[in-house]
Amino acid sequence: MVSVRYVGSRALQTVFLLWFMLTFLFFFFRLMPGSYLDIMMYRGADPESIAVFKENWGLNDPLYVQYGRYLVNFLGFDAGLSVQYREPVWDLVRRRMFNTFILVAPAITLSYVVGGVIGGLIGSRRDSRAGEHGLGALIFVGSLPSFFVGILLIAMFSMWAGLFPTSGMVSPEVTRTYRDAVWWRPYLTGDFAMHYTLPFVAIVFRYLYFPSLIIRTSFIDVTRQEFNEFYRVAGLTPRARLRHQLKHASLPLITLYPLSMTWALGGMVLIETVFNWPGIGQMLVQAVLSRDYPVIQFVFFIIAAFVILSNFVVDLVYGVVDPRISADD
Amino acid sequence: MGRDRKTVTAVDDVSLALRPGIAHGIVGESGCGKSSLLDVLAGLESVDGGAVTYDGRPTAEFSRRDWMAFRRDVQIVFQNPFESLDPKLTVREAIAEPLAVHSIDDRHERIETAVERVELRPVERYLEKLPHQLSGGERQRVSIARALVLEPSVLLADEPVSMLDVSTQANILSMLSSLIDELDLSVLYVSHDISTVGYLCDEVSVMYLGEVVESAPTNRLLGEPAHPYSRALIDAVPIPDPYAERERTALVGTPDGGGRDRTGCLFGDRCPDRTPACERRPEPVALEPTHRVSCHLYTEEPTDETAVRTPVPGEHHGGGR
Amino acid sequence: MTTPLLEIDDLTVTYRTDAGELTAVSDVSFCVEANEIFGLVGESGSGKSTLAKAIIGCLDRNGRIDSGEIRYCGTALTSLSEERFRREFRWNEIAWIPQGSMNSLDPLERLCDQALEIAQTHTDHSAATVDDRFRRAFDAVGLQPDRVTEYPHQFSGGMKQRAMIALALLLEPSLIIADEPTTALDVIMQDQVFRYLDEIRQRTGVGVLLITHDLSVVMEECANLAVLHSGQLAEVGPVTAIYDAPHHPYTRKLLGAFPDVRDPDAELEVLEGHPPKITDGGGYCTFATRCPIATAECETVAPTPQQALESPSQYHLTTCHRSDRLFEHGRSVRRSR
Repeated sequence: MVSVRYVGSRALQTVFLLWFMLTFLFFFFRLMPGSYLDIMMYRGADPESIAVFKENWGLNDPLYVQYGRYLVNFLGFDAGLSVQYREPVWDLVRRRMFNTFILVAPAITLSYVVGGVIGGLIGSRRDSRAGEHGLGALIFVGSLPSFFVGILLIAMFSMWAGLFPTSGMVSPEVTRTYRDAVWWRPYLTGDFAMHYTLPFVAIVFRYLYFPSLIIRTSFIDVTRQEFNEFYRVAGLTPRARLRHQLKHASLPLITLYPLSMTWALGGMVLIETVFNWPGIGQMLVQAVLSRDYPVIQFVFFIIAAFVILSNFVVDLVYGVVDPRISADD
Repeated sequence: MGRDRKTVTAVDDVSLALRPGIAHGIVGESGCGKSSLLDVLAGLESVDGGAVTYDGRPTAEFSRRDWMAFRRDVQIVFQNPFESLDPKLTVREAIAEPLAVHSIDDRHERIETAVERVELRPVERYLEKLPHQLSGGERQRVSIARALVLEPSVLLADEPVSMLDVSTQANILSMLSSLIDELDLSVLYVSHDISTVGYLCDEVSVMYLGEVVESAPTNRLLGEPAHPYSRALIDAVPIPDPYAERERTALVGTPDGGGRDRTGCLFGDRCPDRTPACERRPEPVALEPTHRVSCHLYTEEPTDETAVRTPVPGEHHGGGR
Repeated sequence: MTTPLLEIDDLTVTYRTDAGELTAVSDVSFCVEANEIFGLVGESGSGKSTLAKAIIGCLDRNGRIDSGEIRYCGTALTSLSEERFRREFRWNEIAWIPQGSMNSLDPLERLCDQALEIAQTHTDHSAATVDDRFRRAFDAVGLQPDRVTEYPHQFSGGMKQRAMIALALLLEPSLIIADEPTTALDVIMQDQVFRYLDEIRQRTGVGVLLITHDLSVVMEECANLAVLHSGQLAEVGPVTAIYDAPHHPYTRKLLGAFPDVRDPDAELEVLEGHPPKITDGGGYCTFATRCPIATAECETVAPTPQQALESPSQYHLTTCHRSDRLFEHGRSVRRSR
């Protein structure tokens, strides 16, 4: 069972990792060659404006002072200003993160549900032809690059069949209509749903193969474990036995689900570009190109924090589902 | 989880010597420290006190080179032949591996000799086989051949037959027995089953919670076990005779050594013959020059009247024959 | 005559494999009575586990019963519907202690939850009744009743084995099939497990089919035994009769292959080879290739069970063409003690 001590030690680890990541990213970007200043100079900025810039942004202070300031501000939800847009990073990133998240989280979740079912079906028919073909099809799907899947969907469903808009998140009219409404009002429109469908399907389709393959392997593994025979001999109904098998087979998914989610977040650049979705991926590309460190740093940190926190949650969930895990140390 | 890590004494104050041509058995229940002792002797675990000497030299002083030579000279056979062989290597490759590690040439001949020695005949029929094509007994023979191919002088065997059918056990045991004579091997044979130990070994040490409680020549120990634990181990062995009226073991539970206080007799909590004297740790006593036992039943000066008890040799099994 | 608890009647079981039709059990017959421990002995590959799975109707997918019948208290299990077999007989009437019980328990469920699920599959006992019964069963096998709420990994190997026995006792079955229940345990633990099993038999009158390769255990625990070799029954009868006068060369070899603590210097009988796999339908003695006294007849004609000559028992059958010959100098061949 999950003890207070176990939770405590994992929580401490998590906090430490978050701090470490923040610190690492800060120094990494300070010490990396090629800064925003270089770009300014390249564009022909005069020494005076560079000196002013340095002064304004506090770049003349020693690194540890800058670090201390960053840390204190960060704790107050202030990640600094974007060098590019001269706007607070948090304001800039917030909406885009939300856009990405509402696309990725439901899509990945659905891919796990559908993938789990597919994997279970293929796994339970591993000796048959259907199982083999299913496996082949899955591997084929998994090998398609995500932009290709996106372009294919656009070609089929918006250009050819004309069912969905080709790109964007909401139409300009909708944006205009709700200019003065609350920020989330456009998300409740049918127009948004239409824009949402294709990228959503693209992500589900693209990431489907992973949970399917995992569940398949895990299911095959589980059916070979000896408790199956015990349950069979004990006279449990086939249904009850399947329920136990699924519980065992889904264990690896607990670990992999947040992993897939992060992975998909990272891979969103391509999908967002193809569908012109105003998400974090697109923003990150722009920020990297213009050396907008505060933005890059913050986005990287958010992604890392997502991984770290989800691992923390996974550990806790695992401790509840699989009694063997938390007992060992 | 939530438990503190404790130091568990796995092997405590054990002294034994292996000599060429002699098989020495170590018996005890699961968790009595047999396997840890084997790890120490193989140099896989370090010791907190005492020394392992090989050829007159303590292993603590060994250089890298000495260790290489030691690892060549001292070979281990593990319990589970289903796990100790790589499923992807043929018999030839599996046996060739240690030769490659020690950069030894004329492999072909050595491999064939080793396979011949473990009585996998005809040799050619086995060399290209994979483990899954072999029976349990054949696999264990391959493991032994793998150990023998380096022509070691010491063989450490960890329950080498416990996973096998009894019919196969007999084959392996008698093969090991003749190999010991033929190659003048020193063998340390670890097992929970005193009947196989009795068959193979010349001398036996009985271990309990890391301590040797009794050691004697095999026949002496089987015939006149002195320590209550040795008696329990012997009594628990089923006898292939429907007329034998063996008493069931009186022991309950399992050895519990988890970080416990090691001042009294370690077997005290399960011993049928315990006395107040058992609060102290017994010192080894020599009943015969080769028969040593650590038990208060045999100490010279009893601290308490009740501790006096004259052991009757061969008392157990008295009615069983 | 009363109906025996379990009757195996001319049972033949085959597996479909890549190498062809494998005959795992061939024309085997024997009976297990209530309140007895019956030993079924054989090496790996003798078909003893297949026989156990056939009894409980859980053969692997590629296996099937070709002919013969299995009767439980007179009911032919072999002609029952799967659903009725599952609901009424498995665990309820016939419980099973699997080979390697330490890995057979579900690692994700508490022992009491596993017990509850099994009990509610077959009976309408309340959760409280089941819990109470399971605690008593735990007590009967020498485990602390409070530990029913623990998970399997919190138990040592021998304790898991006993927990499995407790589970087997839960619904008070009339027959327990114990497949190598102590093979992975050390001798002391083995002795403890058999002590509990024997106590339970005496108290409840349950019949136990003990499947093992260890003839010494059978000699001690059982009243009757059957020796299986490559799916054929070599010999069946009371242990004393078989011990005094083994009528099959295989039994004789097996008896000599066991080290005896009373006589550590005795030479062990060496049994060369393994039970062959029968993929051609049989029709010969499967022991012929390993038998020191086999003749041409043994390789072409399958022997049929016949009453053992001069046996003290009425129910001592041997399946050997040469058993009369063997018996002539039988007593002198037997290992002397």
